[in-house]
Amino acid sequence: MALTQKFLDIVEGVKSADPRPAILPTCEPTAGYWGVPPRDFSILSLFPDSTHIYGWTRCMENKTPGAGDLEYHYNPDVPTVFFAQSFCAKTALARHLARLHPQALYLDVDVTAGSSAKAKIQAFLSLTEKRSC
Amino acid sequence: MLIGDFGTSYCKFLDLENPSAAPDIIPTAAVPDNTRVAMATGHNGKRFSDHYVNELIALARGGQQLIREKNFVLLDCGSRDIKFISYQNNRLKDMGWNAECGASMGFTIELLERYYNLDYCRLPVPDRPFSVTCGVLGMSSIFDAVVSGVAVEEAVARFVKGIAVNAFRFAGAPEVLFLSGGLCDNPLFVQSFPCRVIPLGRFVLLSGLAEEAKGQGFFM
Repeated sequence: MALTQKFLDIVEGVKSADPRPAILPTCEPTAGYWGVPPRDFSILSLFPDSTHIYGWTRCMENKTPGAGDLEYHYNPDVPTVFFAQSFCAKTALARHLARLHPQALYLDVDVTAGSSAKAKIQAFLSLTEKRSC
Repeated sequence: MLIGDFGTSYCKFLDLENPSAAPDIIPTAAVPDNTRVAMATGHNGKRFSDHYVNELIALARGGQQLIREKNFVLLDCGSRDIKFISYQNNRLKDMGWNAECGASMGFTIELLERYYNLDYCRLPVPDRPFSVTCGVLGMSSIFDAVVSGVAVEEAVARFVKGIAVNAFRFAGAPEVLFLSGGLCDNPLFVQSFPCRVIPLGRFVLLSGLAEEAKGQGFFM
């Protein structure tokens, strides 16, 4: 499933208090997105379908917005974009976790993502991708 | 097979089928609109090719090709923007691209040289820089200093040093900095950095683009 669709489903899910049943197939992650849902969903199309979601978006999906352990969780084996919406309270946490992660891109985006923000995501995913020799 | 780095002020071209040939440099304003290349990077690159590689990727590939070290920080100072790539143990560690607050730094340095008829090879590095946030806003510091009696040469040199210090901090304040871009040819700029600088010249992105062309099977 495309990352944009995953986010749309999670955001749509706030209309119900019940967690969505886990009936979808799983996939091995090749990239990670940590953070809140972005205001500008266009950046999500830059990620591969095999991107796993972490951070507060997972808490949102799980109907546990205050679950700190779930929010702090990330996968150190997967190159991860730590996304922060400018002036959001989660910005400091995103920066902190990006420092701990062995292969991270901290990305702070204001209202809409500019060309340099999108280029950074694209370059990060491309340069951390394992190339076949 | 022609590839091109279409910068804001200058375009650089390389023919991959003629590896002994030096790259060509043409002012961007003089590049014909109907120019087509097999693969392009740079600010204006999308207009001239169906295969565009973003500048950070080209910079990183160029750095991997030209720098024989596991750890390095490579900063590209262009006319319009600044960007850097940092590698640790041969793995991408950090990157940045500042097209907003880094706006027009290189462009303004070149503009000032012409406007005041200066020669950056002859200007000494000043003791202190101006605190400049970008090329455009930094101009007012020069004019204010000149009005208050500072020599034009000194004011411009402080401005250039301010930009170098800004770029140094933007790149994470490394002990050694590899420098890419046309400003490698500007001794005042290179010597204004508060760290050791290794200039790689203005063809780093073009080298990275050539690597990317090989990696994507465009050219063996």
